[in-house]
Amino acid sequence: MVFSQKHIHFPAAIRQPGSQRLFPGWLFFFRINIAGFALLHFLSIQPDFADLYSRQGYVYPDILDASYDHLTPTFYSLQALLQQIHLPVSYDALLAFSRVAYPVLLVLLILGAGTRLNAILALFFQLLFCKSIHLYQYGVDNFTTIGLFYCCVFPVGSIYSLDNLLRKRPSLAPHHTLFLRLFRAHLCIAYFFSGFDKVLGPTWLNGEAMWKALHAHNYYSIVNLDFIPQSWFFTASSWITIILELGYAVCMNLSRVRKYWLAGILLMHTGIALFMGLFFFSALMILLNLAAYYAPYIDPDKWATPLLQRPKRHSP
Amino acid sequence: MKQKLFIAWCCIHLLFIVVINLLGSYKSYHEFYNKPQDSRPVRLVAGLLNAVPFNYYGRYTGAETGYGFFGINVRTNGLLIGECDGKKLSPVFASYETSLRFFTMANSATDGYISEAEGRTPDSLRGSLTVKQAYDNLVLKNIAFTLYTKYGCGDSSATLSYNLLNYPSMEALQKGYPPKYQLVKMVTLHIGLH
Repeated sequence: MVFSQKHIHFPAAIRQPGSQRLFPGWLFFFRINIAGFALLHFLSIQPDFADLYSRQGYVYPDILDASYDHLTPTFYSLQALLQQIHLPVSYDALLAFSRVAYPVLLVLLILGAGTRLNAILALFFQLLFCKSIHLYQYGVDNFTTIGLFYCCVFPVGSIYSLDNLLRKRPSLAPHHTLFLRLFRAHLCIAYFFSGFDKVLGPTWLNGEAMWKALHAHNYYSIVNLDFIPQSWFFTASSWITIILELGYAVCMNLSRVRKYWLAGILLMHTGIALFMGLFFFSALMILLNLAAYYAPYIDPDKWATPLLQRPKRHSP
Repeated sequence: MKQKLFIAWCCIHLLFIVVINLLGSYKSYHEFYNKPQDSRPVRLVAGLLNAVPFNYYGRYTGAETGYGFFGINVRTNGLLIGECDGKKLSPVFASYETSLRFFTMANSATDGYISEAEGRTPDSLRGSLTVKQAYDNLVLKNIAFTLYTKYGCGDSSATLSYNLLNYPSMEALQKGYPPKYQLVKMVTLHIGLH
């Protein structure tokens, strides 16, 4: 994709009071990473798609549907609805259509084509796929919903997008800091409560929960920690986790400690991926943190000149 | 004006997330310590948030659940293992992500049994444990049927068991217990296939 220089120049006028060093490029980072993540996550289950969604799956669609609250449609309920309005579409045809439509919408979202509409449709399909197998869902699905919802609300198509190329007067998200503040506040609340729930019980405080998380939660741990049964290691890492989470709201918003705290949070999620096998969950949390606390500080001047036009360094 | 409306919505949205999380923490705490959840203000707020518009709002914004991941305690995972004609069968998936999802589903289908075995009933299941267990039974039978159809089972009946992946606690390990995994059978279902 080629962007002319006028689309990647950030005039001082777009900077908000008190946000002299925040740049709207984070909206682009957020859009391509959320949509790209959702696409990869969806592709990862393709080899076993039939086991999850088809009528020959481990749990049949009608049985899954029986315990669902129907706040959003499932494939089973959507097919029944289409039948009712005299649109006889088979379950398999609906599944096949959605299986193609969802990744296409995500690719369009990455490119920033018809961004808002495609974000809304992608959110609909994400919920459709996720809630149709609601017994199989875990934390990553909820955070993907949050990410796609914010793609619908935030002006993520106003920067580095096909939409912007086609506009006569490209908009550069003049109020982007408002959206960033909302996004950051959401993350701060999420981390605070994640830490708060841990200190309510004794097992995180004495390290037993960490021990259990690394041994009895998932046996796909890449690194075996049996060689360090000393309790201090697990107690210390439990407390580090709690402090990182409870202190997130304050320390991530203090410029002096932000980068250290961010590094700590990224290390924590890398640990969750390596020791607990939650690869996609960890990847999404890392992307959300980078979008909120790293991407807004990227110096756009470094990116303003295309690589090929940068002056060459001459050796003496 | 538009900006003011947006800021007002942001405040309501964040308040919604905070309240959902406070309710989640309150429930987890009371379930963990097996205490009655009889606070009137909590019941009032929970009742309000159970109103249909809030349910829809929470679902479409992704703000419907709390973030107390792995708190207050970490749940032990388990494996579903089938036995038919003397053979042990387990679902095999090509993708690791599907295996992870299958773990989650097996955990959710056996939560009721484990809570009962541990002498505590999650508030969400109070009064409806038998309905939940009947549904869980149906899910487990469905899994067993698919498993045996898929991998072939010549017998007329089979069993499906949920086995906790037990590992000695830190204290037990320091006392000299061998660092070995043990599968502890929690639930066993006998299923007639024909």
